[in-house]
Amino acid sequence: MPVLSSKEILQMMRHGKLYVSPILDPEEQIGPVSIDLRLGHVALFVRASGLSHVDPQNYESQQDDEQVRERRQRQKFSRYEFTFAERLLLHPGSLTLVPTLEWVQLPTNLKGVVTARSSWAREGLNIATANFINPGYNGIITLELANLGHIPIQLYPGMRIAQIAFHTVRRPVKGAPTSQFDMSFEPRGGEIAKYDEPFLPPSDQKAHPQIG
Amino acid sequence: MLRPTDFLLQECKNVRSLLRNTLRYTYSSESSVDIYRECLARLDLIDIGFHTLRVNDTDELQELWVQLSRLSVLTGRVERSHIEEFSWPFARSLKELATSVCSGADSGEPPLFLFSADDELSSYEVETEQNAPGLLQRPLFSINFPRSLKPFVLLHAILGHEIGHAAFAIPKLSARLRKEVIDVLVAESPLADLGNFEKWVYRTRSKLSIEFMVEKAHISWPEELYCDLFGMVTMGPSYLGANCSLLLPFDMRTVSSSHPPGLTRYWMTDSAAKCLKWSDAMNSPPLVKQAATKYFGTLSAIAQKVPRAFQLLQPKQIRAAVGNLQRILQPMGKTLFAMPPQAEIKRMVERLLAARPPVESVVSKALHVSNVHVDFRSILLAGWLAWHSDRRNEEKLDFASVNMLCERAVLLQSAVDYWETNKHRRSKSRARAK
Repeated sequence: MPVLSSKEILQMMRHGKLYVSPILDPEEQIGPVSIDLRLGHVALFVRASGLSHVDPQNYESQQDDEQVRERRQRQKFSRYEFTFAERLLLHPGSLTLVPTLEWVQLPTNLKGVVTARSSWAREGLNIATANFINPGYNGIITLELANLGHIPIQLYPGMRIAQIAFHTVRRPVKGAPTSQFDMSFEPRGGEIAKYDEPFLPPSDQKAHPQIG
Repeated sequence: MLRPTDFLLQECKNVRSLLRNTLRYTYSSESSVDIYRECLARLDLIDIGFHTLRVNDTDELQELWVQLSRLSVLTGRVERSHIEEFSWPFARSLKELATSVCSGADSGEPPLFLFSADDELSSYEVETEQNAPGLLQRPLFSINFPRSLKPFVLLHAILGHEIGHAAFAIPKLSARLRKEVIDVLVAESPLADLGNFEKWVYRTRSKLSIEFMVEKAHISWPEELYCDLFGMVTMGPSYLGANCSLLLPFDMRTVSSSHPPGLTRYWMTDSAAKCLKWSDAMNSPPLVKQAATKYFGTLSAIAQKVPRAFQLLQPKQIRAAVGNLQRILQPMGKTLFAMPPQAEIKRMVERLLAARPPVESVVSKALHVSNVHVDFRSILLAGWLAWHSDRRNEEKLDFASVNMLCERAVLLQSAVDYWETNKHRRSKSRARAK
């Protein structure tokens, strides 16, 4: 799957086939095969007190009623909004979900791959681990920020922290996009147990003794 | 038991403590500290008032109590004005508009704007402090949004009406607005004379609200009608959609002391829209024409059914008042709504129909990328047109989605503007790096 060059990216944007906007500083923001992405204005901080541990069983759809599941999801994160020039402090070992400032719309024959900008990675900032963006995706991109270093990192909305490259897909994906995050306006937690219920113990049965 | 002054001194301490608590949050945007200082200065004045109060001066005590009570309400609002509670990019744009009105009218100390959110759907409001003159260091306008409608920027166009009230509270502007807009608007109508107005009220056999007082209504209705015109000329056609959506759920015939009946307001705004010739300005390309015809047609169809008795004003007077209002606001920066070129409206509507924010970077034939400034009122207009477009995918693009895409566009535009304002700093750092 070949990767698009900057010229090909711009040509697709010009013809309305690919959309990444706004590009505030084209000279710096567009690389040979990628576009830099900026930090958006919302952050979901994982609350240390929200849950003792992550358990896929807690996400299972039949496990609890709607209210309990929703409460668990909501209490897992603290949500903050930022105006420009406000700061976001990321402590060592902490995980924060943030949106990109850019809105991205991919055609059905392109896949996006999001990676860290190397300069930030050298400071200990891990940007995106779930880094594939499906063909046909439309919305902001959620970045999972983690500070792998030993000292806090201060970030400001609007800074370039990630980059996206585009790979062509041999045959365009037919039909509507199926991603659960389609038309995303801001980050939210995922559903890790969805469709994997057969491997989870039934809700009326305790899990086997813990290993590790 | 506490003596009245002891109780109120204790209340001063309580308000001071509440005020300190507001420092926990980022409220509003850049004017956070200014608002805190202004409230603190007012509290200090009240505190001094209580300490120097003569024994048995009940009038002064009563006045200080009222001022303290108002400050307590204001402090509560500050506490509820975290940027998470309302759309801060929209608030930022609205503040620019309000500032251009206020600074264009008065060369004094610039006013402060506090944005907050309340729970009621009817809480769209700008509080102007007309009744607290003694305490003012700087005029403070408190702009309120309904909390549940946070991303519904298309409805926020109604705040144009509220900014009209703020403009009317500015001494240098109010005399002109009274003479050249309000008096002209109500001339040759029952509102021009209290006796005729009273007869009109009873002749229409409207449903009177319990608190209805004809004298009070005779004062407040002309100002409310002027504010509708103000909302229209500042916010543009979006004001009509917002006004219609927020008025229609209520009984349009009810007559209250504070506001004219919805039917009268509705009919007047439709007449004013015809004077402003908005639908003529959107007669091509087909995408824009169809959506604009449907938008204005829906509104006009309702206005045509308004009984004659509720058509309170003379159309020629509405036309004259609109013209005078435009002339007054013309020198005040970008206060007046300017219709964007039809090609630009078309592009924005197309983006919305493709489920994208209507503002985006443009790539030229030579593959240069550029960003242009788009006024937030043009974004709202595109939103209302997309909502009325026959090409809208009704399943995918509901009213909330259109609003959220428009709100996102206002945010992206504010990022573009922020970058453009500050990019000279980037050039310096790049030069140093080289």
